[in-house]
Amino acid sequence: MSADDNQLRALMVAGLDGDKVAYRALLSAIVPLLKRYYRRRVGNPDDLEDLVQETLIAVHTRRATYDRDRPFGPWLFAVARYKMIDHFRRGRISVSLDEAEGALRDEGFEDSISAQIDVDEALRTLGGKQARVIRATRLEGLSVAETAVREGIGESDVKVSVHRGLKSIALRLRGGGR
Amino acid sequence: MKTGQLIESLAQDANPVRRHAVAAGVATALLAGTMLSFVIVVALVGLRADLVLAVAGPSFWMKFAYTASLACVAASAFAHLVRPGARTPGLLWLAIAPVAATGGICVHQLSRAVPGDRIAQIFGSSWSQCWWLIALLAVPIYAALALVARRFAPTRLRMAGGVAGFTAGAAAATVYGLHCPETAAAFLLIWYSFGIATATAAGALLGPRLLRW
Repeated sequence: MSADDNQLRALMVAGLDGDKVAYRALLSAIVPLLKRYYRRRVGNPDDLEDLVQETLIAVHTRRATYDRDRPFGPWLFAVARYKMIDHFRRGRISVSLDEAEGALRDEGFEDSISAQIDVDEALRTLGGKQARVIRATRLEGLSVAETAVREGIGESDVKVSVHRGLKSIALRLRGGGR
Repeated sequence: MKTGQLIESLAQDANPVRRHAVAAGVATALLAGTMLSFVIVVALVGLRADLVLAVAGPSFWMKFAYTASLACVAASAFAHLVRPGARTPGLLWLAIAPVAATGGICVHQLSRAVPGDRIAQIFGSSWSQCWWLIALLAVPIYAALALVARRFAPTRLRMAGGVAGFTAGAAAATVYGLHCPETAAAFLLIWYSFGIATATAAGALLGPRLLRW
């Protein structure tokens, strides 16, 4: 990745200096990178094209924020991640639960995002045990061991229940496109 | 629009970008906001009547050095934070230096004063208006910094907002020093800092709302 990053960096710097040919090459080169980035994180494949275009526009309009002395990849994916979270925040796309968790933790986005995922609603549709252990481990911050003690079940039982419960919620979110 | 067409039109629009565009943008915003704050100070509360005399004395420059150095550290950190993927700028730790220096002077002054004077050093005559006037004067500076941030690309909005508030508060405190007659280091350390802290907190709270791009 380092050699490729140097290539991208060179193209970006040339573009910043006004070389339109290099800049066009850069933008074309990052399209597959962005597609791969989003494919693993975004639920609905129809959203991919929109997100890639939005990010290209962001790369272009914010290109002054790229530090020429730093690697290009981290800058690019920071922009991509911001755009993804922004779209999710505005209800335009659905993301994988891992990304949703990250977005929930991300500074400044908590308020709007928790309105999007109705956690109580999602947990209500789950079975009793799964909902209870997810609530304990993810919402109340208990450890697996503490949850196991509280529920009177084994630790591996807790882990399996959390995993299955989250999977059900994820499937439901992805299907509903909420 | 197909992605290929989009790339074509973006490439056509690719005018050169200055190497130090971010630093220049932040500096310009800071200057413009501070000038506006200066106008407000003059119009609202006026410059101190003994200003010409004051600049000949050390306490004026102690206040200036304290607030201006904090503003410089904060502004540099802010310039980092308007770039995507920026982490907490290590250079914020430099802010400890002016605080420590002023703290040293404060201890020295307090230790040499009789107990009655200590109260005067700590509260002065204007403590109750100093801190919120500084926070108020920080508003136009924060607004200018927020506008420039939206042209760039901060990804940590609460931190960028807080550092913008810190910058605005420290710059506002520097302008406020042109009006404020207090001379004690204790007053400076407590009330000026409280004003700057207020601006910082407000800036952090507003960051996620105002700095989005």
